[in-house]
Amino acid sequence: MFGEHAAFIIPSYAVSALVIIAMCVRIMLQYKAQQREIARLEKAGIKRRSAK
Amino acid sequence: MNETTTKRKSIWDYANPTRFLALADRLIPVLGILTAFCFAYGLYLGFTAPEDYQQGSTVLIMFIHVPAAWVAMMCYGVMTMSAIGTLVWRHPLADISLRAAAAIGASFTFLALLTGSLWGKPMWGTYWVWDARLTSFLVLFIIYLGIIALAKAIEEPTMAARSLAIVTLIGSINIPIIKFSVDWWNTLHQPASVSRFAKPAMDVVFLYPLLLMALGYSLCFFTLHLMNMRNEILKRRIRTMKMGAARMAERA
Amino acid sequence: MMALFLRELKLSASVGGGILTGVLFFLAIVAVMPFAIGPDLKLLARIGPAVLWTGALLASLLGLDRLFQQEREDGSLDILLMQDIPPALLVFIKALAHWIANGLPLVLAVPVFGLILNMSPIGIGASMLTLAVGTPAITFIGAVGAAVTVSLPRGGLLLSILILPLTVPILIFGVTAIYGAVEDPAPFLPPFLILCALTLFFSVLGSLAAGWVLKQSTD
Repeated sequence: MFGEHAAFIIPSYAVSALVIIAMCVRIMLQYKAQQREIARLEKAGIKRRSAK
Repeated sequence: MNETTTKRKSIWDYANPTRFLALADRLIPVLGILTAFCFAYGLYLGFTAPEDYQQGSTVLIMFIHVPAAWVAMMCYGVMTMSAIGTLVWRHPLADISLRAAAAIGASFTFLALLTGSLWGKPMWGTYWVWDARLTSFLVLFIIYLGIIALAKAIEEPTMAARSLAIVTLIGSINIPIIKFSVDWWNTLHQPASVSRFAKPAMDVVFLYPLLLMALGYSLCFFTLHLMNMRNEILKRRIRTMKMGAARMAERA
Repeated sequence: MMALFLRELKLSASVGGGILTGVLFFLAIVAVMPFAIGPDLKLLARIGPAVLWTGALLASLLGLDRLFQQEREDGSLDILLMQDIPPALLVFIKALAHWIANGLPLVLAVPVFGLILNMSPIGIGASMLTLAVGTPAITFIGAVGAAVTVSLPRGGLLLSILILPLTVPILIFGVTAIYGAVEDPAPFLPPFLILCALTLFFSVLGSLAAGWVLKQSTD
């Protein structure tokens, strides 16, 4: 559908989408993991020294 | 610190990490939705635009290449400002912002290089030309990678913050010099194929999707940046909590 | 001030095999090139300036990680920083001494390497001149990298990654000036003067930044 240049257009869109989505997913997974970690530490009775 | 910032209602209110987190939690969904909207509308306009008489359907690559390049440069601008923030005010949030931006900037620079070379093949007949702009971007990419490597290498947080800030700042002073020297170098070794890329005045059917995509990319950057800053703050909290726990265990 | 300079000179000449290592590394790079490119003397003469500059650039990066490392480890750096000398001046003196011990020998070795690359006398002269003016800039900008990576165990590698992109302008104007001297239509003076300006600029910027980082690291 993109004429003779489809071989260049599709990969560039695909990789751009992939990289941006991968960044989103990675950052979100990290966020979830860190929230779990903080919950676990707080449950274990560890408090932050001060509200930094 | 807390009391002084609560009294003054200013932008510095949000320089407190806890307040910043609250603000980020509210801003991120809004920015995310705006980003998705810009991308959807920009892509719709882009794909329904007629083919360019000169570039044919490859003009579609422009809609993701040019914004990626803009964001890659803007990200370095954000990092430079953060570096100044670290050096002048020694604010922890400035360092967090710098660290959070580096990997995102490197990703966008990579995308700009990759889509540029995929655009170059049908336009110039080769994936890579040592053209001034491409070469400068390659150098920018290496600078980003160097900063990321340095951020991972130094353990001690305050020293890491200051080192990163000074390297980023030296890099930002250097980037215009590099651009200038690469331009100079390029005029000496001008390859004939690049002149084909002379900029024609852009038609509105291409300009609107391009601007929308640029807005989308910028919003996407700010969303990711905020999210990554939030992660970085949490990472530091976990670190302090663990250190506190270790200290308590020692005392017990 | 002079005493400090002489002390630094002696120190950097004695560290790590001294002056010879850098020159030997330079020789190794220059000697390996023809094996990769082929023994065509005309081609070698054409790319000679580029080979010399690349070799000198890598050779000057080689010793940079030692600029502050040893003194940092034995604690004498902290003592130096506690004196009234501004840290930027201290870095300037150290970098200058480092260049005289490590950079200048590279420049003096150029005639020999130029001959085996079949370069013309003018080309060799221009190479020496541009290297003499340009390599200090590499040392000064490298001082920032050395200051930042001083406490890291494998700092040398990281330093090269950080510094190499920043040396691109120096490389471009150095090589362009040599070609300007050898080939007729290209001008020699403009790139050479820009190279001088870069060195002066980096001697200030590099010293200030590296001095600031070192001062911070002792606090």
